[in-house]
Amino acid sequence: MERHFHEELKGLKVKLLQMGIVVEEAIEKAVEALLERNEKLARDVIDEERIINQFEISVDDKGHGLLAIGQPMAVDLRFITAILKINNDLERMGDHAVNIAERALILMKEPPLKANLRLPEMAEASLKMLREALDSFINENVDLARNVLQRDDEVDAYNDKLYLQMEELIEEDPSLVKRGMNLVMIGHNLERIADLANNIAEDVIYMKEGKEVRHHADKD
Amino acid sequence: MDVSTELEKMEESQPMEKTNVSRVKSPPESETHKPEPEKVKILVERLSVSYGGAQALKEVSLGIEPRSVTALIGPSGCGKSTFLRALNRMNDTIPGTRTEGKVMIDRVNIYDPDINVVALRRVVGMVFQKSNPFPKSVFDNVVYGPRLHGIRDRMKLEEIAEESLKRAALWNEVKDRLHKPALELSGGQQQRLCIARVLAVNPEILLMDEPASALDPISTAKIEELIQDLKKNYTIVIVTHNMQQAARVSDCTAFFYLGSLVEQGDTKKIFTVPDRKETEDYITGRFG
Repeated sequence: MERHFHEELKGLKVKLLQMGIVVEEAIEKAVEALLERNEKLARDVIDEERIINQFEISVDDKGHGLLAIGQPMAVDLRFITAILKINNDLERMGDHAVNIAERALILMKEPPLKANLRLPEMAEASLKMLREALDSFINENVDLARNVLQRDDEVDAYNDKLYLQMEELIEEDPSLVKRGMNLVMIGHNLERIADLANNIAEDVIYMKEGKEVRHHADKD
Repeated sequence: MDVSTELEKMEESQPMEKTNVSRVKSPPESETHKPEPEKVKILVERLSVSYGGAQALKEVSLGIEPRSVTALIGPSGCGKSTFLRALNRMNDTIPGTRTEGKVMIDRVNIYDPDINVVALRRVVGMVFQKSNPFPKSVFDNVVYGPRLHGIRDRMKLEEIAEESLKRAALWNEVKDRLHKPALELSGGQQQRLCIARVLAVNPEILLMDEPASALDPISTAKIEELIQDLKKNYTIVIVTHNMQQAARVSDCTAFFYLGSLVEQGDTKKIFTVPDRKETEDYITGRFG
C-alpha cells in the first residue's frame, strides 16, 4: 500500500525537477547571451531569477512541512534532506547564471576579444554535469552520480587554463583588463556551477546508499 | 550490587543449590553491532521461545550495555514483548511456554534451574503499558515491595518512598498527598508511581513495555525525560511502537520481525542508515 506520505515525497521530487529545468535553462540562456551577444536573452535570465527564488522557497516550505508532519526516518529522511540541499545548490546555480548574464551585458558594450577561450566547451561541460546530476537524482542512479564526480576535474582544468590565458593577454595588453576580469569571473561562475553539480551527485549517493563521499570521506 | 551478589544473598536466606555461573561466550558472528563482552550487562544467546507449538522467538542473540537504553521495535507479533518478558522470566507465568537458549545477566544464566525467580524480578523490574497502581495510598504503593521483602521500620520506609518518588520525578507532585489514594493521580502520575514502585526494591535493570502509549504528549515527554535520567543508574530495555519515541530515548535499537532479530545497532544509525532493507521498510512505513 502506497502511503499518502510517499505520494507527497514524489510531489516534492517533481517540484525539484521542475526547478532543475528552469535553472538549466537559465544557465543555457546566460551562456548563449554571452556567446551571441544577445542582450534580450541576458535580461531574461536576470528577470527570471525570481522564478528560481520562488521555487526555492516553495521546495523549502514543502520539505520542512513533510519533515514536521511525516517525521521521516531512514531513506525518507535522507531523501528530504537531499532535496533541501539540492534546492539550495540549484538556487546558487541560478545566481551564477545571473552573474554570467550581468557580465555578458558588460562585455556586449566592449569590442569582442579575439582569442580562443574555449568558454563554449567549458559551459557545455558544466551543463552536462548539472544535467547528469539531476538525472542521477531523478532516477536514483548512483553510477551516473559517480560519473559526475569524476568529471569535475575537467571543468577545473578549463577554468585554470582560462585564468592563465587572461593573465597573459592582460600582461601583453593592459587595455584588455576590463574584458579580461569579466571573462575570468564568468569562468569562475561556470566552475562553481560544476562544483554545485558535484554536490548534488554527492547528495544522491548519500541518499541512495547512506555512504558519505563528500570531502573524500569514503577514501579516509 | 549485581545479580550474582543479589542471588548469593538469597542463597544465604534460603538454602539453594550453588548458582551455576557460566563463562560468557561470544555470541554467534553476525553483521550487526555487538557490544564488547566486558561491557555487557545482559547477554542473550540463541534465545528461542514458543507458546504451545507456536514459535514466538527464534534463536535471538543480543548484547545490552549497562546504563544504556535499548529500544525494541517491530510490528505486532514480531517477538519483541516476548523477548522483553524473557529477561525477567515473566514468560514462565504463561502455561505451555518453552524457552531455550541463555539469558546471561552479569554472567549468570537466569534460566539455570536453581535461579530464584523472585530475587531475579527484584533485580530486573518491569513497567507495563497500563499503569497498575494498587488501590492503596501513594505511600503504600511505593513501599509495597520493600515491605514484602521484610522492611518494617517506618523511618526506613519513608526514606525509601521519598528517594524512589524523587527518582521517578514524582516527589514534588505528591509529597503533600502521600496518604491519598493512588488512583486519584493522573494517568501520567500513576505510571511514574509504578516506576517509583519498581525503583523502591533497588533494581538494576528496568524493562518497560510501552510505558507511555496510553499517555498524553506532556505525560509522555515526562516519562521520556525520566528514562534519560534513569539510564545514569539503570540498564533500560523498552518496547515501543512509537518510532520517534525509540529514536528519542534510546542509545541502541533492535528491530525484530517474525520472531527474529533482524538488526541491532546504534539508534542514530538505525534511523538514518539502517543496514537491512527490512529495517528500512519498517521504519519508513513501507511494510506489507
